[in-house]
Amino acid sequence: MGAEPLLKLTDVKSCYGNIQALHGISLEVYPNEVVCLIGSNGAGKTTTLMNIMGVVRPTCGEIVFAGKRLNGLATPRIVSMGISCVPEGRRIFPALTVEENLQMGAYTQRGATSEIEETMSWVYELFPILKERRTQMGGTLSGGQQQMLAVGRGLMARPRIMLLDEPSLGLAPLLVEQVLGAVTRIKQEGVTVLLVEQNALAALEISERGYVLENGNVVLTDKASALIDNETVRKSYLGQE
Amino acid sequence: MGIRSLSMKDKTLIGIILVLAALYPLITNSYMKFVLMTGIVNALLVVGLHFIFGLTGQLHMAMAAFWGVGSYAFALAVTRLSWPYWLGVFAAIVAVGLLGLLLGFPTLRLKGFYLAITTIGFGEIVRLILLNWAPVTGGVFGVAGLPRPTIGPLQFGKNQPFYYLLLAILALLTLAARMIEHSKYGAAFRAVHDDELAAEAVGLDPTRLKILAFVLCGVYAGIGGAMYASLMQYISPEVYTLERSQMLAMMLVIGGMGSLPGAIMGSVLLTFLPEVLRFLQQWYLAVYGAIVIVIIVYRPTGLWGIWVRATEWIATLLKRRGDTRGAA
Repeated sequence: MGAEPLLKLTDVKSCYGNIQALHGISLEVYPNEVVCLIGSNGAGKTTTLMNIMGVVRPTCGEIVFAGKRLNGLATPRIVSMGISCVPEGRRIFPALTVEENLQMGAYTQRGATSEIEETMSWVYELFPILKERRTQMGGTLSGGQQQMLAVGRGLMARPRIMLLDEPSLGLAPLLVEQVLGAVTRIKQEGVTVLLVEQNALAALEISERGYVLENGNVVLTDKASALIDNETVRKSYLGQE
Repeated sequence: MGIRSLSMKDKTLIGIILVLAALYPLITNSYMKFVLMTGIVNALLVVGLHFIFGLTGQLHMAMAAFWGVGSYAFALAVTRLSWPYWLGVFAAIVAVGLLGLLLGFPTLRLKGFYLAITTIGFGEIVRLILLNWAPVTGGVFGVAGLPRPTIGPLQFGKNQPFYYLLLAILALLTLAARMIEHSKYGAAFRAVHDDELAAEAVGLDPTRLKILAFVLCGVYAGIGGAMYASLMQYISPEVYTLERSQMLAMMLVIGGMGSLPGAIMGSVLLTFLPEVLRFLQQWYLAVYGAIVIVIIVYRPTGLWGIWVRATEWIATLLKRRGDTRGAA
């Protein structure tokens, strides 16, 4: 593991109106790691990602990415620094074609058109189905294909780290395997991944390390393999005795 | 690029411009010729509205204010300040572009009906200023004696040459709109329409995009407003009402939201519809309303949708005839 974390959250607190959602989250993600956040509904997993992306502003604490403070920066700026997000529920643009969806992912890229095209052919290589469907409207794709498109759109920003929010949500077991398989491939391409999942076992199986969140706090952190064997985790999140 | 490689939308746009060009000499009634000219000016405005309402999905109900400020900026520049014609048009573009910026900023956090209500209020404020700031705007008397354009030795004072100039401007501005639509900004406008939160999450800036769409709309409305003033040669505040804003929005909806050919079809046809229905006298508004409701309920994709269906139907019909002939 590298000495310097790529992404580091220190005591991040965050509120929605009067309701405090995060009570001081601290976590680290090192280069070329897959790290997962697990926890039940309302534990603060998505809120953590929203704070990193600058969609929700932390009330306190510090978020540092590659040595730079992210607090208070606007989302487009954060995306252009090398963080991209695949939001929960995919949120692709249904009335845009597959290719236009991908182009939107590269919106913050200042590079030349040829560079963007290069990235696009890389994404098409990772997900050949998207190339097949490139002129089709995003909304006409199946759930699994839409998830691939959402991941592809995230990759178009050439991120150093990718935040994935519940990529397996609402997908059939076979597709869950496909989508999480894609995460492993992304890691092989040199992209660091921070994964949020309710499907804790599947997430831990492809991760190096994991954080367990409960009511806006980190209650446990360890190597993924150790978490799978941890008794509390087994009982609470894996549904095993 | 050959004609075959053009999309259906581009072909239809070229077709519409050609039909409009051929239509003018075919109309014998000089009043109807004038209605057609008004239709072209409306199309300029509706193509502008297409950016903010059609593509970006923001319900902008102050189109009459944009149009009115365009008309007045042009009229005051060429009469009070004695500016040359095209400098007056430029003043109109800048004035309404700035107005778009002005309306864009405070309304960015508003969506849907809230935005619509705010823009309605904005439109009323502008109308009242045009009406009551008499020392500048001329109040109820409006501004008279507005010129028709000249370009070098070319004179556009008569209706026929002016009509073809208007059509050329429409063709040019439609081409520009089509190019913007095809650029990454066009797709970004539609992305904001589709899912604003997702757009923000992938790094688009919905705020800036909406302001940009408002300003583009303003630029088109500035040209449309100036051309309207030049067409009428006299302007007064009572035309720039909420009713006209609704009418312009309706032209876009009836034409088919989010499609440029639809925007132009809707503008021209809805400009003509009241004239065609005039023989119904007091019943005309009821029939007019009924036609609009039928289109919205049964063909939500509007005239553009109807056109697409019709061409598909004709294509299969031709193909079938070709097949049977081949079999015989």
